[in-house]
Amino acid sequence: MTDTWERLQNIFRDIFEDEGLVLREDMTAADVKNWDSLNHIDLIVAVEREFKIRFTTAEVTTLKNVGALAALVDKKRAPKL
Amino acid sequence: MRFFRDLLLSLAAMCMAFGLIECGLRMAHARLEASFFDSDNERRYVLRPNAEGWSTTETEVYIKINSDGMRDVEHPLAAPPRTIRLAVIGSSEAEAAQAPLNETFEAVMTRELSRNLKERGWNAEVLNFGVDGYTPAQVYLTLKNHVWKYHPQVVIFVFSAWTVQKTVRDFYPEQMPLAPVWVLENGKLVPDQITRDAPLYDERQVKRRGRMVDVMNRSFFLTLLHAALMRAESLPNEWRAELEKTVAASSKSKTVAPSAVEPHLLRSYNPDRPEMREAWSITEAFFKAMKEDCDQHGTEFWLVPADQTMQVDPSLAVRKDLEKRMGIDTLDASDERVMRFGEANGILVFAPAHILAEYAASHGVYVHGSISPTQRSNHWNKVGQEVVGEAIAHELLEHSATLRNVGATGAEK
Amino acid sequence: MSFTEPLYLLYLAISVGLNRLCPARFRPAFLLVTSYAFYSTWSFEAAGLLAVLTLATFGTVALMEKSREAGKTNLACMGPAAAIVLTVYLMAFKVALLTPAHGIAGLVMPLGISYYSFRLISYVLDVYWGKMPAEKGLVNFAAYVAFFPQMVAGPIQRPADFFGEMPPRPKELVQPVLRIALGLVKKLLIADNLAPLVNAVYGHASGFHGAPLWAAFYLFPLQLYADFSGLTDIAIGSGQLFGIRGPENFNRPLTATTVSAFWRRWHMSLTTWLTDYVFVPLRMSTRRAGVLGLNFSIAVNMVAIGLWHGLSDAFLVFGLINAVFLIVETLTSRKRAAFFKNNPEFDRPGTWLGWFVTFHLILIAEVFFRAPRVSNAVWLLGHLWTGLAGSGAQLLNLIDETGTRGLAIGMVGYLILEVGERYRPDLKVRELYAEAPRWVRWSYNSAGAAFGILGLALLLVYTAGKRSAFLYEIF
Repeated sequence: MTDTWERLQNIFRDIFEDEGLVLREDMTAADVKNWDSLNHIDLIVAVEREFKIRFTTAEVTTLKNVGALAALVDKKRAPKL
Repeated sequence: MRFFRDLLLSLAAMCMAFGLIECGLRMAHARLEASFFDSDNERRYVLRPNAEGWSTTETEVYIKINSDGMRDVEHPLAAPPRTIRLAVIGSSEAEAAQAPLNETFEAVMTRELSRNLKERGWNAEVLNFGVDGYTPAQVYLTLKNHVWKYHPQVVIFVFSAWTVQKTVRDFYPEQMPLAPVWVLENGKLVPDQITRDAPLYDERQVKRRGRMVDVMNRSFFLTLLHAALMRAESLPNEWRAELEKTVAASSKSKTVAPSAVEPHLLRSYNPDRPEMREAWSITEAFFKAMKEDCDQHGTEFWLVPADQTMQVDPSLAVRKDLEKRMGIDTLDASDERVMRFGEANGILVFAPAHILAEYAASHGVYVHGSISPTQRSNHWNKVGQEVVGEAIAHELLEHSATLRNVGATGAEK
Repeated sequence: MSFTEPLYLLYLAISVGLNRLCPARFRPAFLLVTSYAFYSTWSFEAAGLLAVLTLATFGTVALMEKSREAGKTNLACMGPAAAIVLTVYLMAFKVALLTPAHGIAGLVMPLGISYYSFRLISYVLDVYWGKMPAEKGLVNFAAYVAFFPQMVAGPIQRPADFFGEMPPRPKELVQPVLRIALGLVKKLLIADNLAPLVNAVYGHASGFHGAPLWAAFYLFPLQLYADFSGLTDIAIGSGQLFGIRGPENFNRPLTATTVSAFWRRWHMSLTTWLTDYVFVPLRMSTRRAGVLGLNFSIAVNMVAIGLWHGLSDAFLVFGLINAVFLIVETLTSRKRAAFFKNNPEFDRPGTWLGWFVTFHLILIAEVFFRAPRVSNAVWLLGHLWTGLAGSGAQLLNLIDETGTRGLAIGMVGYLILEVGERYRPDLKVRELYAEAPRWVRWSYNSAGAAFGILGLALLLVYTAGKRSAFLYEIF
């Protein structure tokens, strides 16, 4: 699961067209240029496609920052016990 | 020591701020009603001599009171040679504070009369003794004690149905707590109990307050503060009224039918109403008293009942509608009553209402000013002042014995 | 009572004073009581309705939470069901009682209904989505729903933020009072002075060509901004006096360089509300539909903004126009970004052009916002360039009738407002003040007191008699 962070970073760099973007745990939409509600879901869709997972609306609306997103991705990738 | 320096500097800053505010208010033309009145022991209140300031109730007019407490230019006690003097007495219609001095009907009369008398080598002068809000008693006292020193040849009492109603305290309990009201006792006019019991003013205090008010009138900021204080005082009443309105709305009580006519209108247009009987008899007694006073001074006396707003509405349909709603035949009933009284008692009467009514209808204009988009006031606007001034002037030129004789004998009175 | 009446200030002062004297744990109850008292001055029935809706929502959500804990998921759908019922109810009320007009007076609809309904809906959905636990205290909840400073015209505060500040511990006094004063100035001195000319033109648009239409075209948005942001200042300042920090509603919106930026800076609490509770859920459902899904969500969102203001064809068109602007913007955003990346010398003129175009697009949309009917709006936009010849004189005549002085004050005031908003953060007044010598501080305070007296006097004198209803008070 260690590649989650790096793969997320690539998605962010692609969606927001910023090659030098470095993700932080506490990063939010306010910290990234071009990240707004209009392309937020584009980001979510790209993450879903990359990791082959699905989010629910409730999960998406409760995300506070990038760290929470990464944690959620990890949870979804973990094999169901 | 630093403390005092700091205090002084901060006070200076405050004064600079006040100065800035005063300039700002003047630039914004934020004019507010100045205070022109002084308390008086004889007439309860008078116009303060030499007061000046803006009057903003219906129109914005700069008012200057002369040194004798008249809203007029300075007049020497003796008339200039070959000049006939007319004195106009009354309340707000006569004072004509809604018009600049050179546009008042008195000014129009002066110009019109002078123009007509010029060929006989004479001039005319009209003196304005009107004071806003005066009751007939106050007007009578003005005539008796303040007009004669100017030796006018003609005295004209310009009044309206409002003036007539100011003889009964019950009609306006809030606005007339101490106003002088005279009643008839055994056919004689005497001050009523409240007037007799009214407390006397300390004249020195009145003068002192007058001086302070004159300073206040000169400053836009001070006038504003004074107006704010007055509003603050009236706020509790306003809130009480609004609370009553909310409660009434919530309980969905029946509202007055929209077509009902307000009581003061009913009283103005219908002199035969029972509650107006007393008002008219007192007023007519005043008419007689004034005529007597004029006879004693050998002066001609005229009554000029001013037209009321609805008599001169440009729309005939609106006038008819009001007649119907009030259940009367004509809006001219009050004027007709005065004319009958004049005939019966040998008093000259001129009611300009029909002239103004025709002018308004044929030109499609209002001759009274407006207080709000839907309300007209009882006072003439610029057009009205012009029409009424000319009308009175022409009536006098045709029917006044004094004016017809001007220049004929060549002798001044 | 309206925000600009002296009575409101008196009521506020008394409530704030009592609130501070109250021990902290009783303050939520006090807020509840004072809010209902305020609301009752509008109408007792409306207050009753508010109470009923509050209790119903509280109960429904508590049940939903309990059933979820117990694992019964079918009852958990109560959440969105309640939200939908509330929305439908809100809209039905609007249909039944609101005539489709921008009428300010004469509306029977319970004031504030839109604002408290949104608070109820956001509570239901936040709990349903697990963003926050259900509030245990009925008093806290009822105080949140009825909080009177935000009842008149927002801002729409989120439940979690409000509950996080319970019990309120008000600290500031001068700052909020100054903010309220600013709001009053914006409303009474600027917005109300621009209103007569704007109203005269929009009231009879088909009687005008050319210049008067241009005047209304440019002045209405300024009036609207001054009016609404002034109202918000009073609301936020009042809330702060109680210790509740409401969300900001405006961020110099008329200087935005893109339409999407405008909507992120105008009526922010409403747009974030719609984003979180309408746009994102809709977008999530349509995310597989690519661009079509995006455009559909944008359209629904903007139409919702339009129709929230009133169910009329003009508001609908307003929403649709904005939807079109936003869709075009998002479709071209990559191309535009690429262009400016490759041609950095066009960056500054590009920003200016962006502002110019955006400003006018917003103004065009706002014609539909203000006009009573689509036909009026179309007339105005269609006749801006016709009959220009004699229209200058017509405009001057109109200005004369509606008051030259008032208009001048309004326009100068607006200019000062915009300049002030641009440079105020740069001035760093607080730091300067703290470091200044005593005589400077005292002078500043005494000059400030002089202006405070002026403001109070102006408020007392110029609000006599007429009620200057806020444009947004009915929503």
